[in-house]
Amino acid sequence: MTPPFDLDLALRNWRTSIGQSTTFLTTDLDELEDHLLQEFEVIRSAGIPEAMAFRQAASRIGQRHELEKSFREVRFGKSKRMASLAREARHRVGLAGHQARIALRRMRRRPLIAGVNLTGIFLAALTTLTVGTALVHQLGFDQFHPAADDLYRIHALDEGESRVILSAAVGQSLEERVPEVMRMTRVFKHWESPLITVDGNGRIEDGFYFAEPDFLGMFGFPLTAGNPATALDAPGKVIITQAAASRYFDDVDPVGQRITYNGTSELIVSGVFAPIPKNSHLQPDFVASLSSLPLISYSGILDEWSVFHTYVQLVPGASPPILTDSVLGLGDDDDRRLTFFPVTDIHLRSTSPDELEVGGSMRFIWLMGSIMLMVVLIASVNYVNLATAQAIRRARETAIRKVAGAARGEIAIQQFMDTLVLIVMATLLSLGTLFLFRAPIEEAFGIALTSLIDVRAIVTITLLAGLALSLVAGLYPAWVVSRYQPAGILKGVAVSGTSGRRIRNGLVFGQFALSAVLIILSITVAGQMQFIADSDLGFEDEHVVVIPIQGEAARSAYPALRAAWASLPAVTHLGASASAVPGEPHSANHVIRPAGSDDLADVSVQRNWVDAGYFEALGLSLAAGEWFRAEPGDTSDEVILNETAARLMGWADPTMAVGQPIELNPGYENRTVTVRGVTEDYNFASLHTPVAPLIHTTTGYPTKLVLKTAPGTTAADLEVLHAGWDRIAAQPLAISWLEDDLGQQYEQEATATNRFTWASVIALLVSALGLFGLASFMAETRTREIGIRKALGATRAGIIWMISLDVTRIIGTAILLSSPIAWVLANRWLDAFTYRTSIGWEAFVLTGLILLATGWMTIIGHAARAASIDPARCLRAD
Amino acid sequence: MTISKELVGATFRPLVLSLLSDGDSYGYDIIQRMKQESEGKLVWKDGSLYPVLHRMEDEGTIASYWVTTDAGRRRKYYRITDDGVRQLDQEKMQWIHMDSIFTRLWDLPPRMTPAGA
Repeated sequence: MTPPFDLDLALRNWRTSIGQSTTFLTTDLDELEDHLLQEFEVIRSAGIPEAMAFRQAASRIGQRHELEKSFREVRFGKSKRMASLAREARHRVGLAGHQARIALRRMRRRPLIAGVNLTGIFLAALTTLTVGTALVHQLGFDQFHPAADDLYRIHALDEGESRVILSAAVGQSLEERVPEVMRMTRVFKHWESPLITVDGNGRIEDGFYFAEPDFLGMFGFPLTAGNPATALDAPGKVIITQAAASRYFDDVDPVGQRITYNGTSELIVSGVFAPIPKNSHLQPDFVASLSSLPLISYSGILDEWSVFHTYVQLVPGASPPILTDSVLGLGDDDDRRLTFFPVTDIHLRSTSPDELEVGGSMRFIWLMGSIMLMVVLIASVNYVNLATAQAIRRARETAIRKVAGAARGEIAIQQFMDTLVLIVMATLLSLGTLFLFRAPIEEAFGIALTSLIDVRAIVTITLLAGLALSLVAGLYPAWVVSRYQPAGILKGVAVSGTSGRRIRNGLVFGQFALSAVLIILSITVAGQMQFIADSDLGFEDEHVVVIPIQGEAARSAYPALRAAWASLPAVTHLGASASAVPGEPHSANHVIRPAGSDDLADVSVQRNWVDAGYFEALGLSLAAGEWFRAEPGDTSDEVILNETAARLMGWADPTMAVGQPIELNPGYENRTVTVRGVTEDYNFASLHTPVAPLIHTTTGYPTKLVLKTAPGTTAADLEVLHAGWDRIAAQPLAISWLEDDLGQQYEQEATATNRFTWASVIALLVSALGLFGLASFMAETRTREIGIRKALGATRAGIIWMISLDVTRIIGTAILLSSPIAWVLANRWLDAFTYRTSIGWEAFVLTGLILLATGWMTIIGHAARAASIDPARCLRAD
Repeated sequence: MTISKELVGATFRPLVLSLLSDGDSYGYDIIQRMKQESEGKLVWKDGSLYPVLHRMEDEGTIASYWVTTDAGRRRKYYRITDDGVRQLDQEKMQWIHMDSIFTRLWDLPPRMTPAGA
């Protein structure tokens, strides 16, 4: 029986329906309602039943869209436009609040799905925030200099090699002859960090630079004390950072204080730097005037040595000219070109081994960017999958809303709002997590956020990440959901599930394919790390201690120290180098040739200056001949080659080399020396590069002591070394284990391992979350099918098997198709190593097992629950 | 026969002004009277005439005020303003002029006379 007509209710419903549009004001609605009522009265008085009269009246006054159109034409004309836009905006905000409340209500209603969604998006947001912060930091290097775009460093291109350390004359000539150059500074940092002492309190300082007065103005490093115009204008002046000042001077005003350089020269502090930004490729703790250099180092350094980084600032807008030595008046060699390398590119794009500080690399940027993108993609796919799956459940709700007059746009906006609410929650959550658990996150990603936290950057990244996620994850579901045709759904025709399912399966496939790539990469990286750890370097790094020794006093006391230490039971061998120990850059560009031959026989070699004990302390093996004689201070004209050097000199058999005379650095050193022995090749650089030819010459001037200690010796056992040391040296005894130092060479790889592992874990977790949600959905929508199967005699195990088979098929295909891609990527990564492991089939099998196990564990619960359906019940339900 | 949308649009203002020059009125009444006067030949959705009333209000040719009816409902009345009166005069002149053109062209017996003629 139809209920009696209720005019008030009918009016209210009509008004609500019309009022959904933002076009109408309350007064418009009042006026229209008054009109409707009068029309209704007139029609009813003609004897038409009330309900029909009302429908007729409403029809005469017009449908919502007709009214909306004509009202809009007037409303949004000319003068009223701004006012109505403001009203519109107010209304939209109100509407958004309403929609957000609906979204929250929906989340509460299905906490499992909401939890899965939230966790996925949260992980993506966390990754984006962390990695994004690091990327912004890396990409922003050296942008803070006031004239960043006009700053260049001069690189010399000579026979395809790019060199950044040049003679002082280059800078001089640039300033004098090139009109585009506005100002110039040469920067020098000694390859051997100096010992700085104040009142007998000494430290080895890694960040000691020498530079010219324009250094301050060009790079825009402000001083908190001292006069920038005069701080570097004369010999003997040095500017220090606040951090360095506090190391030496406590509360005393550092300006005017004296510091001692390597125990011999005194410098007066002329200024204090404001903290140097972390994203500067120059990280000085001390900057002394360049004019001090001849006084405290070699007096001819400015005229003779090619050791200077030359920076120029061009006049604003000038493009860098192309220069050769002849243009600069440095000789008639036009083969060498001088290029202007943008300072802003130094951190990421310079590949020079002679950088002042360790730089970053574009590889890092691409790597981290890809990881970020993959995690975001997987998480978005996840969300899209679950949202569209859920949308089918909500098809009826959507259909009713549409019938009630909701436009497609409104449905889409509501769906988009669901996404937005989720993203806002996830972003807030990840911000919170980032601040609470910064340390472990930094470790996992190998990123030092602590120094980079900058509110502006965080806000920008958060907004960008949120926007990107909203677009990726929000648009497709909104489109799908708003597309439903209400008529079919309400008549009971099911939403076509097959095409949707195919897309969803495709998306799951994509997620697992990406996860597979990441897992294979992390297995590869870990495998390479293991390979490096197991590699025979050709020398022993275990139980070897390296101690830097500096200052004339210490060096002259070394023979006595050596004698004293040699008798200690903890020390089995004692040697010294004047230059480098394995893992450190060795002096390059030395030339040797067999005595009497011409320059066609030249072999370019690296060189180390060592004493007789060095070889045994490192456990090197002799291929032929003998080590140096053990007499202290032996500076004979004998050398020891490595096998590679001997081979390149034409002595295929090392024994042939022994006793041969060779010319060392013909042209400037001009010594004829004799090969005393040949070492077996040892990996003195790193496993990134093949063993280079190397020559050892003798030294009486140690800068690094190498101690082979008895196995089982601990740091505490080495306390005995202090007895001799503290008497002779001003700097504290700095003991480092060679094994640890070498490990740092592979720090990048170790960090990469960490990153890949974490990215894989996150990707896998998010993929599994997605599968979990999808499985729960699948189990729900397939109840009827499962019921029928059971009614027809399918067993529980059979049903579980059926559902698992679906997942297995998807994951299996994902692994098969992504393996070749992963293989190519992994090989490309490994190609950076000269000594590299290979990728075995085990990696792929392991990846497959991990993925399948994850997949199965994820769905097993749902499959079991679905399989235990009582067919009688679920079939009756429909 | 129905009258085109464009022509309805063009005639609506002078029609409203003419009706309101007889006395204040509200939307439903105005629309009903316009239907009567046009013998049902002007066809529109009733509700869509309100925006035009509002536009005229903005332009200042008519003004509105709210009245509470005996039944306790709020009803919006419109009245013609001085500007509206002047506008109506102009409209009259224009329509009469147009009429005389067509009358001559189509050789019809004259039915309208210029105001004050």
